[in-house]
Amino acid sequence: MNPIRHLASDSGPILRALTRSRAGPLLIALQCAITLAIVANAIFIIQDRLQKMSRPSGMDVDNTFVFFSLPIAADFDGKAVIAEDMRRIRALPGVVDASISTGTPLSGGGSSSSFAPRPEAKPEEYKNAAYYETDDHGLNAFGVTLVAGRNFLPAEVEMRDPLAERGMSSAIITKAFADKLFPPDGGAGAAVGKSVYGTNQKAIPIVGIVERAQTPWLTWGELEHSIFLSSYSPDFPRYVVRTEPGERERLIPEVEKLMAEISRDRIVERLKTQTEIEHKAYGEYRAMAVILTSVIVLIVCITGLGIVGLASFNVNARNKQIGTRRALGATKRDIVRYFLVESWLITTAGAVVGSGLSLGLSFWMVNTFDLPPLDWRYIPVGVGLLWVLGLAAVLVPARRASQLAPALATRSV
Amino acid sequence: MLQMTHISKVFRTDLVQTHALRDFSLTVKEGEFVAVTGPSGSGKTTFLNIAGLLETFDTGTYLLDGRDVSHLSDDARSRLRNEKIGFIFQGFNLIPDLSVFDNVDVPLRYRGFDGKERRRRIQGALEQVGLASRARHLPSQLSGGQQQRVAIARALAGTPRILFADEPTGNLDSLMARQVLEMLEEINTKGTTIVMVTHDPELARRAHRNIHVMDGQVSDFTDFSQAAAARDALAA
Amino acid sequence: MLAHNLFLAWKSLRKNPVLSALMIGAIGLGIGVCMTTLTVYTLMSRNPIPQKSSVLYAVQLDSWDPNEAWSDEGRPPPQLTWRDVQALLKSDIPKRQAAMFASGFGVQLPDEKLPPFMAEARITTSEFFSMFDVPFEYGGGWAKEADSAPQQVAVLSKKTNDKVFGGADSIGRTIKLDKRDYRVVGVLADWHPTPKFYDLNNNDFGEPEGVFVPMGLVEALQLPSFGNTQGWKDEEINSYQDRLNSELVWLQYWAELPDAASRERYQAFIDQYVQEQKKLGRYPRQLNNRLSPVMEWLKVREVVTEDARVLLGLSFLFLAVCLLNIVGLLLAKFLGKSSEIALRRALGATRWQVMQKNLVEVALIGLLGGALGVLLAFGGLFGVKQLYEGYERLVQLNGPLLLVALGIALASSLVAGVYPAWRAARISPAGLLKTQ
Repeated sequence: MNPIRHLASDSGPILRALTRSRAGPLLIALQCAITLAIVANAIFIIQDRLQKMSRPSGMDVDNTFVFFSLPIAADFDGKAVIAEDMRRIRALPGVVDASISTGTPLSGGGSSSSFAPRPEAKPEEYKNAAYYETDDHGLNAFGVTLVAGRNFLPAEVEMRDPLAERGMSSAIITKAFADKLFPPDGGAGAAVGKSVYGTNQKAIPIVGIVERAQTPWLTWGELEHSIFLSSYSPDFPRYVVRTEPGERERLIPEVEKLMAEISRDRIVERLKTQTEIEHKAYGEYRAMAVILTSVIVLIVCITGLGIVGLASFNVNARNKQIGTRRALGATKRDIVRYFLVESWLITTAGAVVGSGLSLGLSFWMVNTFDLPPLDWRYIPVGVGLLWVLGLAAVLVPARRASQLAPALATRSV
Repeated sequence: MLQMTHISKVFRTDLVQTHALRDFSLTVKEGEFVAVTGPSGSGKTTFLNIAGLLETFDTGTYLLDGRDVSHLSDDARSRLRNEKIGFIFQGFNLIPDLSVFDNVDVPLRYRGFDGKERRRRIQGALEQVGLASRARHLPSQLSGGQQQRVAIARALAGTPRILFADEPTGNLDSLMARQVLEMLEEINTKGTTIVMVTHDPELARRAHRNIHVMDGQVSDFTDFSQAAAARDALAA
Repeated sequence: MLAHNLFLAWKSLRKNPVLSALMIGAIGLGIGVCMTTLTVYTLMSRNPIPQKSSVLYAVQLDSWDPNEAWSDEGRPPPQLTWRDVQALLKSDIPKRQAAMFASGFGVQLPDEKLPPFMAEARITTSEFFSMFDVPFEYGGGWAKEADSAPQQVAVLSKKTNDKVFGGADSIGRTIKLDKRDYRVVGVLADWHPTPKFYDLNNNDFGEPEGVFVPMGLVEALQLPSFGNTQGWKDEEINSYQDRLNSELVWLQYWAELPDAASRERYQAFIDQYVQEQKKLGRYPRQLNNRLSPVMEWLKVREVVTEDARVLLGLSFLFLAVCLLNIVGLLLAKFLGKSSEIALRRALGATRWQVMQKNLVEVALIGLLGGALGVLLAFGGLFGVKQLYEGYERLVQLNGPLLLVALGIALASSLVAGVYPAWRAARISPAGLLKTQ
């Protein structure tokens, strides 16, 4: 007889027996239900976080590092020092390029503004984007990929007054932002040659499109709505240095030493690799994933042990019954199967209730927090896990039951 | 039907070894109703366990229905119990969480009968013991006598060749005990071999033949079929 | 009797070591997980200044864009413009008040050959220290004149003073900040308001700044803001003065309003101020000024992270699973002792006595589980500390929380134990006589 048919044919009396043995199986089923609700939602959240963490920032993450050069003297000549810094850093062997920027992806600090696809646009036509003020080396120092148009020309780069409005020379925007601003004829290249307009109505010609560059803020509405502008202020500049593969760790102290050599009227602060910046940005996501994973492991253990405990108790309590079944012709496999089917029925009952509970929990979380609703596909995943758990947990007690002697049937209590 | 020759069985613990059966030989013919008596500790339960294939033995040979069962695997013994042997226990051994119907169903499922066949047999067996109307009851809702009759129905449903009864009336009052006994006699007249273990001489006298076990050996035979024939002859 | 019951309970636990370990372990894990999340949650949502939290108000004026509210919920921006701060500081309604923003200095160590280190700084007004009950190790804050006229004085944190002056009383000594000389007027004692409620723009759980200097220096030294600056209006900003006159918001503002009357007067004052500004063409939005006491402010600024709340909710579900688990195991255990219980009943034990004995056993399991839970919580918090940056101050178990842990353990195990104990107590003495 094949196992599936057995499962189906055995379920009837086992189920009827279960409904009469009251509290024990009910408790386990309830426990399974809550376990499923927790596990399905936790796996979903973990999955969501991992998926978000895996998004590329657009930068050459492994080979860049970033730091601030903070002036500490009133007479500090920012323009001259930056020019000297850039010349000397770029000349270092192993450095691919260096530039300054108002921020880097996921660095947490930066600027944003509204841009419209035409002058005199209505308020709703303005879209927010993070902007990176940089120079003609910016794209190369970031390591972003140009997919249409061209890089900034040296002539377009303007070092503006520290307190003046942001520079407006020309712009290179991300593909995502281009698609957003110019929806009908979006796509790489179509936006090149057009202009974006700030709230001051000045046209900023778009000279290029990059594949991807995330904004400095992880929780920003549209993570890839970024724009590079070809002007920068010498105030509190952030330096971005990109190295040849494998050269970064060697070059960091070298660049620090070089900075001190060029001017002692500033402090090199918050020197971090882009890897560290992105790692830190996702810190809470990672922590949540780790914590939820531990919660899943623990709860699966607890529920599993609960099933083991109850099944062991049942084996002890049903010694005589098992002996009788053996006397009536049950093989060892029949006894194991009995306990497996029983456990399967309990976990299935738990799974049915638990599916509803999972959706309820998700509904509550969606309403209370800013979480996406549970993808229903995580419920079957959780149910599968529950089944495996239920069968695995009951295997040892079931095997012990099958080893009981048939002669137990004739033994008086 | 059942032929045991020079069977012995030793239980060993760290401290002692007990000879439960030694050089035990017994033959039961087809259609016989045999009672096995003896004081407690005499080995009659061990005999029943071995005869009913619930336990293995150390030496000797055992032919059940003409087949040597000395070296069968656990699964083969299970199958044999299921197909050829019926059990009636002193404590009834009904499964408390299952209804009367489901209790009788237990061995039939192990047999692999389809649903229709199982229903037919359960129905027939329950009618035979007069409990067809109680099929949906739980054992706890029945009297002791009724429970033992369910157990008999369970033993009969698989149409066994031989029925082993272990103190079948031990937990019953005399009226119910008589009913159960009459039922066993009726089953026996229909051709099923019955081996009954009891310490009650009154009960034992109802069998065709009485085997007295002492210290793990057969110590005495009484053939009541001949005695009864003699008595009948005398009366006539 | 209790001692006897405890003895019996202990023996009973010893008799089934695996089952007992399972139950204690389940309670311990449930408690451990709950305590970990509860600790993080309570510390995130804790009152950083309990003695004054109801009289300290964060001040918000809605100077924002006429076309779009600052937030979707229609809240005003959390920070103020320089112009408005100057006007508010003139009011004498609050008992105390302070304006502030984050900045930073390169601090020169006494050994001039060493490079300066960067210290976070708070530019604020004199009443900051008394309003927030900031403790001083040496000296005190600066005089009120320094709030409007430039005076190069500074208050140092304990850490900065340790680093620069080796922890000595540095009052009157000179410290070089961005190559300018400042006179030290005060050194703080240990002060860790958690969350850092007075400025929630950057790290909610960060340490207070290392240097505090008076607001009067802002215009003279053109001190930059290291904090968050937001704007909505298209303005020509070509000088530091332009920035100060702009609609950019970048300053935090707090007022101490000791009673309802002063609170109402102050609300009337800021509303009237905004009405006057409207006449000058500012404040294009509807009147929407808010005064939020500390705890409400923490809520408005969503200091308790969503993850912490999700985890707290999940961990209580986790505890529920652990408890269901224990109910099942206890039920199995007590009903497994049916014959012993029936015997006790037959020998004259009342139901209540049987129940009592069972409950003592359950309570013992709860206490042992609670103790294990506290140990696990230490481990859990250590793990949280490794996972999150800047949570160091958040992950310390304290006395009250320990009591809560034991209380939850005991209460939940008793709740879990009542049903099995009751079921077991109902076993009838006649049960002993049945064979099945």
